[in-house]
Amino acid sequence: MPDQITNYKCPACGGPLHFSNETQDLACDYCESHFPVAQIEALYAQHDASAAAAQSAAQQQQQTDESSWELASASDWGGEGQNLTAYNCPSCGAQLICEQTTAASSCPYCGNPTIIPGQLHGMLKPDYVIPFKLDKNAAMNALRNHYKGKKLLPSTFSKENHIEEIKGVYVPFWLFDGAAHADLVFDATRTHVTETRNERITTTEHYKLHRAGTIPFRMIPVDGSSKMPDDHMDAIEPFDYSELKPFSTAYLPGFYADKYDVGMEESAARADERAQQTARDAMRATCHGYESVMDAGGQILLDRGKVHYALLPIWMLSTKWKGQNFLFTMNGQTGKLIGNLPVDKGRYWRYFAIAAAIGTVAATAVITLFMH
Amino acid sequence: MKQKRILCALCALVLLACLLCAPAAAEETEYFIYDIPDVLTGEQVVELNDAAKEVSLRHGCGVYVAVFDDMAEYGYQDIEDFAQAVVGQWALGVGAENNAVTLVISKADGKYCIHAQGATAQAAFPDSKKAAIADAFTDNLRSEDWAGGFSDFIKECDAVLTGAPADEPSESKTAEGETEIFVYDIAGLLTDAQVSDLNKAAKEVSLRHGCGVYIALFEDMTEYGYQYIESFSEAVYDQWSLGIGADRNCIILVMSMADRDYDLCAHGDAAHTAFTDYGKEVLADAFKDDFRHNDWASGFADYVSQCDYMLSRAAAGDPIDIPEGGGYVQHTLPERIARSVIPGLIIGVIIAFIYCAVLKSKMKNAKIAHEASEYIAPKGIAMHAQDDVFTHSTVTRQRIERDNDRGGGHGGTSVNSGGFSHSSGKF
Repeated sequence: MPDQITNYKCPACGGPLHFSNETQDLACDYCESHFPVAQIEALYAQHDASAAAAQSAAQQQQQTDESSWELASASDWGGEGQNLTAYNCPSCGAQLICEQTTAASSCPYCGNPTIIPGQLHGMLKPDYVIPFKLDKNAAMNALRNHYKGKKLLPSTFSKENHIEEIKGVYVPFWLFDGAAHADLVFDATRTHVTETRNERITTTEHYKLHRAGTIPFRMIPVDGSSKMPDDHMDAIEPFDYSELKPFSTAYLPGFYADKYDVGMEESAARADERAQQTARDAMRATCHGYESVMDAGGQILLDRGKVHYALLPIWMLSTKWKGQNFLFTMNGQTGKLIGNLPVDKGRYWRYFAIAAAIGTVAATAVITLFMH
Repeated sequence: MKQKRILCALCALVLLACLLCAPAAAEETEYFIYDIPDVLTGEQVVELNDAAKEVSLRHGCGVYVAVFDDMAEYGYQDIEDFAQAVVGQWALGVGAENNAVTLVISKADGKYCIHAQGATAQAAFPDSKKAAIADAFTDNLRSEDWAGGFSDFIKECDAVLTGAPADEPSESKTAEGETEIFVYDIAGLLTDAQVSDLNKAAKEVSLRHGCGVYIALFEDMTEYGYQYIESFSEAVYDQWSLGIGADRNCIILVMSMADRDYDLCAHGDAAHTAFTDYGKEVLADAFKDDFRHNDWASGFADYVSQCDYMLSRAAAGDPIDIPEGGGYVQHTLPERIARSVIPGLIIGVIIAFIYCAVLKSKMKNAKIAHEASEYIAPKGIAMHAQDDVFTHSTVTRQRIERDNDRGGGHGGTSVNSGGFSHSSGKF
């Protein structure tokens, strides 16, 4: 069980507060009041101790009130329960079960946005957060735009299927600072062609190129959630880091939030690979004026610096079509949408036949015209 | 005697100058006989020098004799190396190419060498010719008839440079001044009888049509410094003064056996009329089948008879050439479309595959990232070293296939700026 459930309430009317994408502060749906994140944080800091005590007293009361009914089945969650946790909605009292890595959610009964700070105990606190800038409607529009111009998309996919779930999730990311020291050698060639009356003389000049340099990196992102597909999280980049904020739970109400379950050490390999490849490409890009440039050895040493832990905003849209799950993710800051679409085989072969027919007619006409 | 002493003194001065690495200009050389051990009298030196000079200037190829006491005195053990050094250091030769054929003798050990320098001399004096020339003078040298031997050497060189075989007298010319030799078997492919028969047939065809029909067979044109058979053919024509009549009309079948190269080289208006680009291909087809089976005599006989036929057709105003319309069969539109459909279908399918691959690629945009250029810090890349070192160069040569190399699809004959037309290939 989480140690504490935080449900930010409006100081004016007591209604639930949620983070507003538009105004970038906490808003009340009932009295339409808006409160800066810092103000609510300060207010709730005073109430934390009493809230924890009240919660403890309520639990003790609940234990003493438990009846002695005998359970028909004594079986528990077993291994499955290790990844789950239960908490009570502070608004309507419903008991909810969520994954242990979920740090913020909302009540399906009353819609109350809830933060579960107890979930974060024993884990690193995020350094930064990028608040959501785009809402659910923007995600839906982005998905509709994603369908446009996709000639091979089955018509039933876009017309008939409905998005089963849209949720805004703060996904944990590791942001790696560092530098790559490259000392590389390339084999390069430059070719000159001259013609005499009878022959074409090709002179190929061979060069050995030495390039050494330092490439500093700032915040290479690698997602720390095993539930999020790596290809989606990579393709959804980049994020605008100028909008990074110091972490506060006040940004979380209204969205889901995961804590990392892939550690920094495990994620570092992907950051290393990207840094090394970028250093190699950068050195190669300085080899101007050659027709071919081939790797010929050398080394890239990494100077590993600080690693930041941040929560970055992602809209997740999931649907099922013909028994297959399709996931779309949208960058909650920039609106970039990623997701693979199904291919209609019938359409594929229809377009193939049309293209082949047009190509054949055109090519035949050209060949016929130019045939002596 | 005084003249001889002066001549010898001059020779010694020249040798001294050469040893001091101060070669004289070839075209300034008036001396063709260098008699260091005094084996000749002064009169003989003058007489031989005049004869050698006359032959040299007439052919544009210096004919030299250099006699030494002992090449070992100069630090040489090999007569060929010694000859090379003498010719090089004395800057012997005539013309821009420094053409020279030099008889170098080391008297002490009785060794001699006939050294050829320059493209003209090397083409005219292959090893077989050198051996024939040597046969002509070695008897005289053994009997220490130096003047007689050197005189024979000069005459043999004159004969070779004139284009006549060394064993044939220079009077073997037609009334018009052309050579009577039409078959030059340097490669030794044919027997004497075959050469004689072919020569007789070629001569008869040549004189009847006023256009020389020649065969010139070599072991390897690269021995003469040539890479391309066309250039070699033109050199053979020029250096052997081939051709009949004022225009020096002729067709020459030149073969280099090492790489099985052949060239049909025509020169002169009459030859170009009779042997069009297409006609040369027809002519080549007449002998190539035989050559593929190394049936040389039959191939050459077919060559001569086909030349006869083609010259006759040209004389009748109907030379063998590609038909009207560029030599290609004119197809009707339906035929052309029918012939285009299969390649058009292949191209269409390839286009469809590319188009659909592009469409399909748009359906997937979730990809793992392998680079992080977006995250290079604002201060950017700091380069510490940037060195480009040239290591070596390689050269490849590719022969340019021009339309007129194969007839080009148009009628007539493609003649180059030197007045030659060619059709070459492998047999």
